[in-house]
Amino acid sequence: MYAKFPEGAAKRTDPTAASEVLYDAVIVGGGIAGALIASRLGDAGKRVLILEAGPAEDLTLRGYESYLDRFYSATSKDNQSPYPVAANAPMPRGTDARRIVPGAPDASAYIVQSGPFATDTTYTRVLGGTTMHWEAKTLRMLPEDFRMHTLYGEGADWPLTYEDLAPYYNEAEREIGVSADVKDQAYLGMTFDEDYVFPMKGLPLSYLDRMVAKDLDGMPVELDGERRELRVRPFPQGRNGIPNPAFDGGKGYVPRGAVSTYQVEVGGRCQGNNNCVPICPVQAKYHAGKTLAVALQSGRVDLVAQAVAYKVHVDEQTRRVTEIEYRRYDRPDSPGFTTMRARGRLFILAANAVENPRLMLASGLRSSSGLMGRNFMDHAYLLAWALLPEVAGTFRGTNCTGGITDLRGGRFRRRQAAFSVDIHNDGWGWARGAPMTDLIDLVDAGGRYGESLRQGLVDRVSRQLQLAFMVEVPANPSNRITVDPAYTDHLGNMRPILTYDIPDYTMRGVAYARQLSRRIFARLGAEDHTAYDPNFWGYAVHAGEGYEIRGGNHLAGTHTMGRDPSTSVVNPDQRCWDHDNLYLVGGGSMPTVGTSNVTLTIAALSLRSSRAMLAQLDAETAPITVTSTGAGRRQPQEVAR
Amino acid sequence: MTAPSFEEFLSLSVDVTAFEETVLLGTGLARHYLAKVQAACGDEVVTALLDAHRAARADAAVDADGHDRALPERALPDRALLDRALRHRIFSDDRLGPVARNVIKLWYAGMWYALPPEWTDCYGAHAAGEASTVTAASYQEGLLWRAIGANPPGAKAPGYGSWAQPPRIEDRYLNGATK
Amino acid sequence: MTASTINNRDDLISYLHVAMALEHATIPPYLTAYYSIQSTTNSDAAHIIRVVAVEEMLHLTLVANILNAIGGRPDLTRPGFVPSYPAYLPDGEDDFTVDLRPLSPEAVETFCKIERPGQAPRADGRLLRTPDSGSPVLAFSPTAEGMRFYSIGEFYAEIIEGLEKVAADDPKLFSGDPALQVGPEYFYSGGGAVIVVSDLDSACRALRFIAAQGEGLDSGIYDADGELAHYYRFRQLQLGRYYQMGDAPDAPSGPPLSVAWDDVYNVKVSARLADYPAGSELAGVARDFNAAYGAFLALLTRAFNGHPGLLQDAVCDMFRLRDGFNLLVRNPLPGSDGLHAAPTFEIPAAFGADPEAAPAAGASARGVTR
Repeated sequence: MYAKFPEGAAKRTDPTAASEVLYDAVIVGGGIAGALIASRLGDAGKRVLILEAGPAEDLTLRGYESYLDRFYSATSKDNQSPYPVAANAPMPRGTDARRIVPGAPDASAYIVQSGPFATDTTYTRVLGGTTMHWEAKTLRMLPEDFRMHTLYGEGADWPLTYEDLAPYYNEAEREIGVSADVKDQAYLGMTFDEDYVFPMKGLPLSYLDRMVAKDLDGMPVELDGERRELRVRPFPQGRNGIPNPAFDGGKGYVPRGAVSTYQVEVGGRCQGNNNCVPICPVQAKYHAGKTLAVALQSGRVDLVAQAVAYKVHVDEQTRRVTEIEYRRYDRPDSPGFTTMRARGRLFILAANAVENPRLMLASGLRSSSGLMGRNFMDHAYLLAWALLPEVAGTFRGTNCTGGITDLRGGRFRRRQAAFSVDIHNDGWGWARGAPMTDLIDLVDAGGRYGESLRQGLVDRVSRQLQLAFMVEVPANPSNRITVDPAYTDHLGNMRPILTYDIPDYTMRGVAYARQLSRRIFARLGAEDHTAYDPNFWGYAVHAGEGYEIRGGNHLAGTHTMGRDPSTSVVNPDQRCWDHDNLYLVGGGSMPTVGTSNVTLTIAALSLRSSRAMLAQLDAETAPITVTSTGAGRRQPQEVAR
Repeated sequence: MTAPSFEEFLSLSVDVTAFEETVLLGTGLARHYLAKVQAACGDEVVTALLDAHRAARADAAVDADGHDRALPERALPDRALLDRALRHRIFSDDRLGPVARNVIKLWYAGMWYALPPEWTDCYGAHAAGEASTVTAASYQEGLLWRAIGANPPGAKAPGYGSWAQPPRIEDRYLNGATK
Repeated sequence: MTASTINNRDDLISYLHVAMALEHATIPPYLTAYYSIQSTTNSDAAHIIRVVAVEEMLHLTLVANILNAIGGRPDLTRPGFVPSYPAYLPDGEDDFTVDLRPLSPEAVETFCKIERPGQAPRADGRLLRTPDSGSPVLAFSPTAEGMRFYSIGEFYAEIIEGLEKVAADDPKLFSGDPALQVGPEYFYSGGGAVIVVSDLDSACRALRFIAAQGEGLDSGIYDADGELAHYYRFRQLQLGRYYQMGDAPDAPSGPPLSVAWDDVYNVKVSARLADYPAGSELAGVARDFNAAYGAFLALLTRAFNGHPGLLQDAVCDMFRLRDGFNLLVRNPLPGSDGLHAAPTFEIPAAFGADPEAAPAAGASARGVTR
């Protein structure tokens, strides 16, 4: 069934009228966290306003197809290639990354990178946020990821446990529509409720995965005195597969299709387009627009887009947030804007782990812990690539169906970072721009044409194996987002400045990953073609060896949660210690990233926090005195319940 | 000078891509591609390329008994002779070689790549010579994907679970790959 | 009311074989229009036609489930299962045929006629005499010689009544092997899920679903699940606007839509292999397509005879047929004044009679052959 986006919902809320409404909740950001919270608050009868920085366009099938056309026509098919560039709400792009010269920040793109390590991290500023281009790999975090300090003396402990979050993982998996089988996902301590099944059955492993598994399964690895055997394991995926009739105690699951303002029948089963990133052409992949569409149907959720939050205003006595000042631009690429304000009982920043602290710091709100913006995390990706001895049919399937997850946890984490390993169905695409680079090389340098070109392509491309080691990065206060009035964007918003280095702990994991990749290739009889370019923007040297390190866009850690206000920014409900009615939600709250892509955990945390928000709204029944920061305003209008 | 002939462009394309004419026409883009090459390189170069190709086919023409120089219109070219003639007349030519290679890449990638600077220095730059996609459809019709038994990412989906099966690549290419 | 033409299980089986042929017979015309659309154009029309074609596949599957439930054996490989186009339609007009056409106002007009809500003007008007011309008829009575139905809806109404009657007389009617049923895990699309048929109730539900999804017989423009009936989906192309809930049949009030009639490959209407230059590469491609389509029907037959998991492969086959279809329609058809080629759906006889499937179900094949 398609998700009906109410026609006109992206434009129907007049910002001027909305500024006179006292909403139950004002949410900054229409990505997965904002959409989930809006839907849960709206369901509970609360009045919600979402401020979205991206263009004010309804999510229609035609609009989605315009993303697709932009992708098809783009000469560079990077993560952002399908999405409109709006100078007023700029998006970082993977292609922005430049090698950083020590002492000279790279301010050439939206994120100012002061190094020393450059990253190609991206996020998408359109309705639906970065879930528009996410890969939709939905790994839960391991129980031990929540207790890293206690168990391994490295990183932080969460104020929550796996068990605390498990029910919300279940709910997030339902909302996203995860395809997986419990038998494949119950490992390294991950437990599931008795009789739990995922909404849909696991997607089959690719032929490439099977070719790897044939030789790899059973490969012994000994690390820190623990012996384990590697195997290729399917990943849980946030895309539509075959519904599991046993879901929800036998009630089954109805997959959620495409988003549209009129009845369409697309977005059914994944068709193997091999293009999850940057855009699933049929919306079989979940994106937050699906949740947003449902949230907007309630009529209690308003949306103002082209609205870039500028400042969070705080009452000096109560420290409560009084309003969010935002700049509403008239057109995506012209400089005109109107300053508006949004008022509510609760305020929820659901931008992301870069934009949340950017906005707080730009508002002069550094957190009494001093930790706002600190402990920035991402995953550090190390790629290793080889040619298999036989044709493996690379470049088919979803971007990634299987990988090696046996080294996500274990005692070795006392000294080196854990990782999860993806087998990339898109071959050396990420590492070396395959298969176009192979084509160019075969034709221009190899003198190939006709039959010999066809033969050369099969030999060179269809045997490609790329392993992507997604290595954990622990929290480090000096990895941080800051702002500086010297760096602003078109709207006058201060741009994020990223200071980032890869900790040695991570680099030890990276070095081990490279070593393991050599063993794996040897076991498979694969030709190792891995070579790291010292001129690469993300080149990093460790123990005399150089590596290409890439970012994962798994932004986290910039407003970490904890039990102690002096060592954390938000409490376990993601409520700011400093401001009773302000929630900072998303990856920024995570004290560790472990070896999971962050979105599922962001979704689970958002769902958990929405309960706390509802409880707070219901508890704070007494009328709220709003201390006006401006003159001559009318009384806020009460919203009928 | 006469405008480059579409039929001759098609014939050249068959020889340099090793895909049948029906497949090339089946992209729906053959005429767009000829127009693109003309716009990027100029008619004179394209005509010279097609002339060279015609001459190469004539070089390679053999009669039914295997003697060369049969009537060019009806005879099948000898593959080895044709390869040699294409290399000598086209691929090793300073002016025609880079254009022919770009025609191959155009068919395989659906994208026009900029010609090397030394080429534009000698033979002139055209406004349409910059790297560009031809139409939104051209990326989807790249022959590269056909050659490797895959779909262009984001288009021509093969269907749920198809990725678990071996790729549909003709046997003659599979054998070459095994060490 | 005329006397029922369905009196026993064999009659029912005959009717259901015709129903399968009927559901299938609409697919080639829809696909021809769909694939005539040029890449990245006509999004609205393409989605509307594609959805209807997919739902016809669902209907085909539902009829197979009913047939299996009463002990019949679905067979899509019988000679004549695929009609020879142009073919007559059972809409009460003798001069009207279904062609394989590119997307055009004529094609949409035909589609509306195929899916047209049609209750006979008089209760005894359900069955009409078949026309004398040589063209095949899509919905006819397999048991009453020379008779056909006023509309597809009336045809299904006859089956439902017959089913109820036979089931009342024969408590063992639904004795088919449950393992042959195709369950919802094997087939789903946006528009409805497969119904497993095990008794009269589920059989009637499946039949009503087919009728309602096609033409909105009793339930208005939307069915109980909020699905817009096929007839109204096509009407949107004529009226230039989407329907939304609550709309009256002739006044859609949703977002506007547009059709670019020129962004279409002008394929030869109801092309035949004989139209292709003999021995040409293109003729070979057209022949290969027909063979692949025949293999697809054989695969479906196996799926409906105890191997439902094969439907997953059938979907992949459909995607490959899409690529073959696209290739053909972009090739000019030599000697036809600039028209383009298209699949001819002349299925080679050698294809696929599955040894497991039933022998051709007697008289039921008659109506769909010339």
